[in-house]
This record gives sequence, C-alpha cells and structure tokens, in this order.
Amino acid sequence: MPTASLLAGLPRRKEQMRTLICSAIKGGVGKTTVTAGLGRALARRGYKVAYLDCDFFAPNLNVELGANGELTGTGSGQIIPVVTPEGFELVSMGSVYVPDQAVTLSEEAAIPQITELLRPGEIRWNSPDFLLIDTAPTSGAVIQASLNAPDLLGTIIITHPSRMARADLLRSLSLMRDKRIPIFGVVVNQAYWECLCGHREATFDLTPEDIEEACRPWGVEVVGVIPHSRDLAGHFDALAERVLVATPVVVPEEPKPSRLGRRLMDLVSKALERRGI
Amino acid sequence: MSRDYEAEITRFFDGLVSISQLTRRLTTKEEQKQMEGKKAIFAIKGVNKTFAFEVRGTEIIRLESISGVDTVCWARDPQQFLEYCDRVFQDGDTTAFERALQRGDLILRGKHTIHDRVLWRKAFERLATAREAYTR
Repeated sequence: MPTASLLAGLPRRKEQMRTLICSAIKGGVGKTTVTAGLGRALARRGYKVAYLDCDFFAPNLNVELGANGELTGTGSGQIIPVVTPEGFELVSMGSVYVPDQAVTLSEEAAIPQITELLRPGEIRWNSPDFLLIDTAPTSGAVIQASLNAPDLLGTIIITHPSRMARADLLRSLSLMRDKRIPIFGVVVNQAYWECLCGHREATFDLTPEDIEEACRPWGVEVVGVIPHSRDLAGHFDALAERVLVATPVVVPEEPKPSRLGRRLMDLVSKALERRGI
Repeated sequence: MSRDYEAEITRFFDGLVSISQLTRRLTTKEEQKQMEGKKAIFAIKGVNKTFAFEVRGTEIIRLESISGVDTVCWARDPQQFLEYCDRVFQDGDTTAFERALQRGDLILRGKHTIHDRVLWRKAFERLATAREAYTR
C-alpha cells in the first residue's frame, strides 16, 4: 500500500516537521551514522534538519555530530536543543548523561521519557523541515514508543549485508508492518570496501542484491547502498535523493484465517496430534 | 540514618523550604490531609522549578500529586538514596544525581522530567557553590 513521498503531497503547515525514523532491530548496523549522514545530505539540499536521539541506553548522535553542549531548558518547561558545530539542532540524552556511567534503567522507566520528548511542544525546535529520529536497536517497547511520534511520515530501515542482519531486517519489516508504519526503503550499510585500485570487496557474507531479494516479498526497495569508507558524502547524497522521492510502503497485514479456517486448522492439528505427528 | 538532611540542606542552599512551608505553598487542603504523618519533604528551588521528594524516616516516598511540583523524584532503594544525598550534599558531587538516574536508582516522574532534570543539574551546581562557601 504506497503512500505519499517525503516531498509529494505534503502541503506543509507552518512549523510542521517531516519526521522520519531511522530504525533497525539489530545493533551496530550504523543507524546513527546513516541518520547523521542522511541529515547532512538533506542540509546540502537546502533543507533545515534537526535530530532527535531516542536511543536512551546508548545515545551517540551527539558524538557523531560533534555536539559538546548541554541541553538547557526554558522557564516554560521546554527543552532547548543543542546546536551542533554544523548548525543542526539536536536533542540527545548523550548531552545529558554522565559519559562514564552505563544507563541501566528499565525500559519501563525509559518509555515515559521518550513519550515526553515526542510530545508536541516539549522541545523548542526552530522550525526544521525535517526531524530525523535515531532509535534504539530493539523491537521492544522503547522503539514502539518512538514509533508513536506525531506526524511520523515513516521509517528507513538500516541493515548490513549479512545473514544475521538479514534475519533482524525481516523482524524490523514485520514490526513496521504490524505497527502500520510506512517504509521509505532499506539502506544496506557497510556493504563493501573499495581499495585504491578500485577493487571492491564484500564486507560481510551477503551482497546488497541478497538484501534486495529479501525485501522483495515485502514490496520494499533498497534505497541506498553505503560502502565501508570514510568518505561517504556522495553516497549519502544519493541516498537523500532516493529517499526524497521514494514512495513509502505500508506492508499489508498478514491475512488472518477466517473462523472456518481456524476451525479447519484446529481439526487438522488435533488429527495430527492423535497420530503422534 | 540519624542525619538531619533537611537542616543540612537548608544551611547549604537557601532555596530550601520546610515541609510546612512546602505544604502550605504547594498543596491544596485535600492534599495536605493526604500528606499528614509524613516526616519531611526536601525541596530544592531550581532555576525556575521546585523539585520535591519526601523522606519518611529512611523511606523515600513517591509523591504522586503536589500542586505546583511538576517533577517528582523517587528512589527504589532508600539506603542508596541516602548515600546519594551524602555524595551531593557532603561531597559536592554534582554528577551523583545524574549517575543515580542513569543507574535507575532514582526515577523522575512528571510531565517535563528531562527539562527539569537539566534544570536540576544547574540547581546542584548552585548547591555545590553554596556548599563551598559554607565550608570555607
């Protein structure tokens, strides 16, 4: 079920942000790097970008964006974002936490805080065009709280081309299907590395094509292939171009068996049980 | 724990109000009735907010609703909470609050907890300055 792209069909109200979540159930696939890189590429296209780090347990977007400042607040209860050296607004718990202390609070304790950050008016954003949200690597309640962001347009899912990451990618796709979140596409990160002679070597045990094949039954496309490299600006520019015009897909719910179907399944199941199968 | 934290904090930080002042100022009559028998409420006047947590003996009681208090801080383990108080009020360690929150030993509840957490840190910095002046 396709929905409108980021640019098409979106008459902007004043102060309305286009919110996009960068997600993955698997950790370490580069959600934060891709979130930051995509934002920079959107900024190069003239858009005003802000970031919200909803990874409450290991927030690193402030590190990736080189933000050293601390969050502050207004007298009227609003959080004032940190402004990064590149001029992006950022709200990350990484700007609040003591760096050498692990975050071991429960998911239950984190959820109200995520909900708080997503509540309209809680953060004094300076009218960004895009709000990019980085999420925690989980399918648990923490990411589900992030998916309740108001005016959320959808998600991009980040993965490695590896068997393990592919397994988690399928879980991510099903999570977005179950939560009815539009998917703008999948980004295959650290797909390969290229040596000076131009030779490309696969970084993991699968290829981007394998990931494309895994996405096909879901009707979702690979919108970006990012190599393992220090110079990624051009690749993120290409990703931004694709994401801006991509038609997001709401994966149709799995058909549920009818009452008759369920009865038949029960009968078959019982018959198999009787035969010890 | 026999230490009188309320008196100690009062000496260190002039924004502190006593339980009677706090109840008069922040609560309705109905809420005051609910709070009967509770020993102490420590409140630190932050930059623009008042933060409150309540101590009954060595127990930290979670405050659900006090008018005018947006954010309530409560502890899972009262003993840990008191140790945390020592670090803040005796050692002047302004990061102790944040560390306790990150460990989940202290929990903030309210409408603007992150905003208030940021402001509270500022209050602790002021507390540390006040403490330094007191001990000099």
